Amino acid sequence: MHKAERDTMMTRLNQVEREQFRRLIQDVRTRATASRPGSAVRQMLTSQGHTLSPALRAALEAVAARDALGPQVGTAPPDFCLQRLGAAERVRLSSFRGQQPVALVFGSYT
Amino acid sequence: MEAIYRRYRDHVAFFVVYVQEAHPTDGWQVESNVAEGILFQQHQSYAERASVAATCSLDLHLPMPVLVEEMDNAIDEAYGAAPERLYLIGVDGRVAYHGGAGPHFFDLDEWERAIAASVRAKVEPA
Repeated sequence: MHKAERDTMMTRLNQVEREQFRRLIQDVRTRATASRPGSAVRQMLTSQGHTLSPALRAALEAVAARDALGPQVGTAPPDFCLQRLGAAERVRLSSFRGQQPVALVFGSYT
Repeated sequence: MEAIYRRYRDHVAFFVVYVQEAHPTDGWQVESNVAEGILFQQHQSYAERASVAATCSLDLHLPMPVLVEEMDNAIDEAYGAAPERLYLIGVDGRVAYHGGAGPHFFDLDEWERAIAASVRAKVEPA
């Protein structure tokens, strides 16, 4: 599930569906569970999905699919070597192995 | 986030990885960005991405170093990252924390607990 596909599902929601989406996601977030939030969304869809509009179901499935992506705990993550802003150096993730943990914040301004 | 960085930066390497825009003007625009004047098209080149990343870093006073994702978005996709996501890679080189997909499941408290545990493990090895 690429970001673009997820975005498409989200933009198809009307105002009522967006509000429903927000409430359902908030419910998932406040529910104490050891499972991944995307798994909790899938469980919710199993029990309530038939009551939701097709667009809302698709958006929630997209969110659940996106949540499952990425290297899982205990696995070796994809290595990278990226340019550091404002510096001549490139930073290689694997160079930190055996040295210190690495905290990553993926994001953008918008 | 800045508080977490300042608390643990002596023990953990922190990086922002700047990826594709979450809500570009030529994509899924959101009202809050329009209201705040945060208006950027989806990056058309690496230079443009780096320029917007620099603007973001300055405007938000980001204290941690910023790495810029390449235009093929390969790392972004490999990490299921965009629009935003938190990870912690342990000193053993393995994923110690795999954050929920942002924005809905972005959890700073959970990330900090993982960081704290990682630092304790590093300082007090079994």
